[in-house]
Amino acid sequence: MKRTYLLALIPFTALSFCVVGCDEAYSEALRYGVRTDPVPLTKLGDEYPFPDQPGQMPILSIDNFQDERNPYFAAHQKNDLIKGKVFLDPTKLADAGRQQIRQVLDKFFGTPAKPTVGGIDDDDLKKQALEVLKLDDKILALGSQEYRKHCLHCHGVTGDGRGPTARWVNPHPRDYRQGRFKFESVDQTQTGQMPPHRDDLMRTLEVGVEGTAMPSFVVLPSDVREALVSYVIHLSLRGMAEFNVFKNKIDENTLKLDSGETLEQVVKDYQFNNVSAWVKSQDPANRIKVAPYPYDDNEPDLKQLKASVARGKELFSSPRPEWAAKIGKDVCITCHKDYGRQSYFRYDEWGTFAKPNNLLMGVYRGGRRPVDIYYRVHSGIPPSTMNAFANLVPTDPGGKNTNALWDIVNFVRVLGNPNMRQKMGIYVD
Amino acid sequence: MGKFWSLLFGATMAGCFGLFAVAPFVDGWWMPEGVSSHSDRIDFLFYAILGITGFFFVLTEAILVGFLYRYGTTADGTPPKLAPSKVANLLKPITKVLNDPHKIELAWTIIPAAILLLIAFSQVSIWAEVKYQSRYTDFVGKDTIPVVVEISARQFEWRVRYPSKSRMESFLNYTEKKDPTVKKDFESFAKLTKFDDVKNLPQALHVLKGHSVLIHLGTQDVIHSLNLPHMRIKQDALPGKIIPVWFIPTKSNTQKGTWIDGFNPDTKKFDDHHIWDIACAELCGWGHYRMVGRLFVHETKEDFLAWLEHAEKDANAKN
Amino acid sequence: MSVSHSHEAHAHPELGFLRKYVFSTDHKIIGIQFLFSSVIFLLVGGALALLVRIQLAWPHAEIPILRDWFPDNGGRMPESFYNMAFSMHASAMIFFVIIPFLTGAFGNFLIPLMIGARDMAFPALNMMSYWFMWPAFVLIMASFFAEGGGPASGWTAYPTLSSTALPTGQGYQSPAAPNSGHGQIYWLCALLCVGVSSMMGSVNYITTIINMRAPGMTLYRMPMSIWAMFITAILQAFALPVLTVALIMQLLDKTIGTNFFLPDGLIFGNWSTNVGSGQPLLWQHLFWFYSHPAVYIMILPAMGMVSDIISTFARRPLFGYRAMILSVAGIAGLGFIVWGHHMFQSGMDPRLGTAFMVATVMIALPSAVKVFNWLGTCYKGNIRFTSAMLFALAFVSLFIIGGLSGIFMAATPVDIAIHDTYFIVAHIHYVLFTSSLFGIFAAIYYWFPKMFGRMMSEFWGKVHFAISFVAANCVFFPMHILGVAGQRRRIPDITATAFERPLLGLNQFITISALVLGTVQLIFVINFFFSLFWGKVCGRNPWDSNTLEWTTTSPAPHGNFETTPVVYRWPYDYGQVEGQAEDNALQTDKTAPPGIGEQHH
Repeated sequence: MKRTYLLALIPFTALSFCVVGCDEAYSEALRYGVRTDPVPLTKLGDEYPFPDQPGQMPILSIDNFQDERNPYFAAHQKNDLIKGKVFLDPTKLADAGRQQIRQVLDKFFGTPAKPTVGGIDDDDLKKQALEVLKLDDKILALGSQEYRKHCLHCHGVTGDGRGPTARWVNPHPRDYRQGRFKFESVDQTQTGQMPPHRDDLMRTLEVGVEGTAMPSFVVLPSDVREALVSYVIHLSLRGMAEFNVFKNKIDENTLKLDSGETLEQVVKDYQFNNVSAWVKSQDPANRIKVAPYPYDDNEPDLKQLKASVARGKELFSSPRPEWAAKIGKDVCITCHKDYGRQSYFRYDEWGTFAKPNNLLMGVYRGGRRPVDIYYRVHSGIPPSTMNAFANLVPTDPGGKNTNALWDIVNFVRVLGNPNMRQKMGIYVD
Repeated sequence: MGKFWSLLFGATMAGCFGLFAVAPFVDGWWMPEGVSSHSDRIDFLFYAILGITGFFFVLTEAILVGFLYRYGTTADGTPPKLAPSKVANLLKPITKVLNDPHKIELAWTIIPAAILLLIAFSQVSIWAEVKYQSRYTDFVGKDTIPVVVEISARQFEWRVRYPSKSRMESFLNYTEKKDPTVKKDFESFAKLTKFDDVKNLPQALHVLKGHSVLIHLGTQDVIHSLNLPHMRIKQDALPGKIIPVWFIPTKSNTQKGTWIDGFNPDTKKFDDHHIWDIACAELCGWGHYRMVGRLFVHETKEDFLAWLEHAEKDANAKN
Repeated sequence: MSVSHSHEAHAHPELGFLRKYVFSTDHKIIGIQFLFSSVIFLLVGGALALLVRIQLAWPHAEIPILRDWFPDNGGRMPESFYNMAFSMHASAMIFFVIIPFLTGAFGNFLIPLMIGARDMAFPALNMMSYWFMWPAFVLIMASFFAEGGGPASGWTAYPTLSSTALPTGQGYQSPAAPNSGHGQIYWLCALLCVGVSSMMGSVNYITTIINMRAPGMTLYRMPMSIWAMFITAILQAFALPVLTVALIMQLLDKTIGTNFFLPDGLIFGNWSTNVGSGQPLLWQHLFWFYSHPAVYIMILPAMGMVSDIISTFARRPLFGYRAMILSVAGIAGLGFIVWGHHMFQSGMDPRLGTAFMVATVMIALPSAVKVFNWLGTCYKGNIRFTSAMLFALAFVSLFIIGGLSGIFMAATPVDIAIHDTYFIVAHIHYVLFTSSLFGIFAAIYYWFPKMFGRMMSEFWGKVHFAISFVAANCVFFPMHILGVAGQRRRIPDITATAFERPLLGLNQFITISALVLGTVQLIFVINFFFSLFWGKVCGRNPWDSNTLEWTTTSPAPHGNFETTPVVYRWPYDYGQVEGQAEDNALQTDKTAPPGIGEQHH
């Protein structure tokens, strides 16, 4: 009898060598749901002195505004931010409305386990969505699985940037739901705000965002990264549809549709516009046209570079009232106070905060290649309130701004390296 | 009943021993292939200790199991009737020691002490070679400049700074020209970040087979640990300190021209055994497990410099 | 010299329930209180270990029950939760299970009984030492619910991960990790309480053993259990103040803005910390200066008790009594000069590493001597296989594995390869689970009759033993292989690297064995509590043992002995002698002729 309990171990041992439940995908039962966090309608103001502290996420829920450590606390006490139409509280919407929105979104965008991009009636656009944006169901399924493994804990199930870890890193992870991204190579000065090119998202995955909690994912195979980019675009499109509905079609607690309108049709319209914008961004014609680099950096005495840097410094730091009229701000140094050492945080479009970079640290979030910095100066970082300077900087007699942007780029790059600053004669103390 | 218990002990210990015997032959269950200049010596020490401890493991467990088998009490609690012991016959030469409790106590104190001291002192020279900073010059040689990089660890990735391609080339060619300005330039690499350094490349350390490597290891936030299992290298990165790490890779794993790793230079095919991870080995937060980079060892100097040139071009892209 | 005054002269007024069983100064009650709280924390620590194992075996799957706890993480355990699980597993097991079991429960219970005293030297201090554990219990359980989660920087709590704080005045959250804020502060305070409790206990034990032995109980007639408790108490007294200081320093770093351990220039995204000039390595030195002797605190009492149990059930005198005492003292003494072996790869000067290596390798020697002596005790024995004996024998057998694996880590170059891998985890668990904890089980099965006057079920004890023995080896032995292959510690998902991915199958085997091992401990817990009420009633000396506690009634009465015992012999007179019916002689037995043991004494 006493030996029998040893025999019982054998099936255990045998079974255990089988791989049990190797399930990497989301559970079939999980749904994206409808957002419950406040929807930012406008920016509250300009500047804020500190970062929010670990454990806080300024706009996780309306209740947050009652927490006195929340950056919005004081403003909310003074003037109710919901009544003042700075934020919309989506939880106020009656259940029936939320159900409706949810049904339509689930129909067009699927579930986390089976994501899809639907709701496009136009065949041409559908074809382009599949080819150019790579949004076919198979690649989305792979992307969803990998997203769950690598991205979810910061960026959240719906791409809301409110995963479990999000409150504990600063800057906070990106919220994809407004279709806005910071580091783009798509020209933002021509037709207004444009979504990024796929290459921009691939680049972010490849090199990470230095100085933030976003690491480089270059160790993942490139097909996995492509799938992740597709999935992020999917989450972004879904988020954008939801955001548009809340921004435009919600009045207090009800869904207000015009006569004859159905929610499905409304969302289809939004989807058409959003997908078209994304497809348009993939067109090479809409990429930022980088002027050829005009200087020879290999000169033995670096004369050209030095002159360029000096011009760049002037562009960066000297007051320019004519810019203030157009963009509300003077020059670079207005926001990058003291070359970034004393920058204030600025309210961004997601309701969180962004700090103009401390350029003396030599850390460039959007990428450190000269062309990356060129992109930033050219088209700005619109959601974080960095303006596009392509149409503002002085042009040469030919009407082109060939050198001015590169001068600023050179100056910024030199700022980040103490040794080079000395060589170029730039003193910032 | 005693026999059952002794057999339980015996079977379990045999299973443990069996696992160690089988593991080296199961793919992925043993030490990864050692591909650095000192992995052979470290592996030898490991096997030596394994042999010694394995011997004493078998000896002491066999004695224990044997005693339990032989000396288990009888059903009514009287001492067991003992058959003449075969083992005792084998041990006749040392019965004098075995039967004198003081002598045996001395024996089993002095013999292990000697073995342990031997083990201890045999470790010192390879430890010094790998870690003592005073030994670094001997290791590299006066007339060689290693491939020098700076690795900055942060939550949760590795960032590597390389000198520019021309600078690296001058370092690698130092042996021929022995130009003292080049030596000085190399010595300034750790403290001085030059404008044309190839900076902050994420997650990938590229080095050259057969040429020494010097890593200046630092961290931006918490303690991390540079862990190159295939190189038998492990060094914690301490905030507030830059710690040098050096080794010589003896095998390459990167395909020429494409610079894809996982390439077996012997079979010319790709396999997982030639993916050499840089896996953080000190708890650094919730992302510790994913703080994994990759080590690329290039086969030839030309290939290595070609890669560096490509990386430098990309880092300086102006369109 | 030993003095004890008789209590027969004055009677105590009858105490109420609270004074008798809750706020008692009777060392036996206090020992049993430690025992009960430790059993509860054993279950807590065990549950945490199972969570860790489940995550390791199936890193991406949604685990049925856990899935509902983590809806915003795709049904998976968040990584910071996993970090908290293993950190709290270790903290609970070390500070709230093993140390309280060994020093709190058995130290308290056995010392006065085995040396023939009526109670400890300082009964009120003794009571305080138990009740100081309660703030620790409350704090450590509260830490699970702290904002940001419970402490997750390992039980080793290395700065800067654990102790980075925002500039003074901005709150106690940490930019380095969510769990390093409030959770870490709870942990520090809880451990401060545990340290104070242990220091009180150690002072008591040393004084009692030196001053209060019964007449005839010379130092060299004390059982090994007492020698071990004595030397352990000295270890605690010298090592704990250093831990206490380190904990206070980290607490100050986190709360009022000192920077003992925080250097300058730390960057956490947009967050900055105070200007610093501290040294993270300083924490490591201070912490390990205590924590290395701590591991000997966690093994020596078990070794002592196992010595007594083996000689009792082998019916043989303990082989090499003086050598055993010297070995215990040697382990303790050497234990103070080896702390740097935890820091070989830490950035400490490697020349120090060489020095620590030699001392560490030598510490294997007294341990080896002890193992040989235990084997010698079994030689030509008349071995009774009771549950207690089985666990004690398993202690010996598996401590051999734990001790031998330690030699690999002591060798610094080999440590380069196995530091922070599962090889270390295997070693730790062989010496703590299959050695210390099995020793504790042996002691519980052995002394339960003396504590409660009833016997635990021998049959279920043997079932508990057999399954635990096999399952424990199935869990911890393969970890050596994992470590050799390079699997790192403290990793929730081993598919992140190429060299760890092939080990998933072995990890799953370990997890299933761990689930079996965990479940089978319930048999022990049920046996324990069932036997409290319905166990077979027993007499004074159910095991025919020699030491003093078996001369009094079971359970021992308040005041321990009817009359002060007088000791005439050492505790190890076991063995059949011509013409004698008994094969053992109690320490108080004046007339029995010397047994076989006398020749060795």
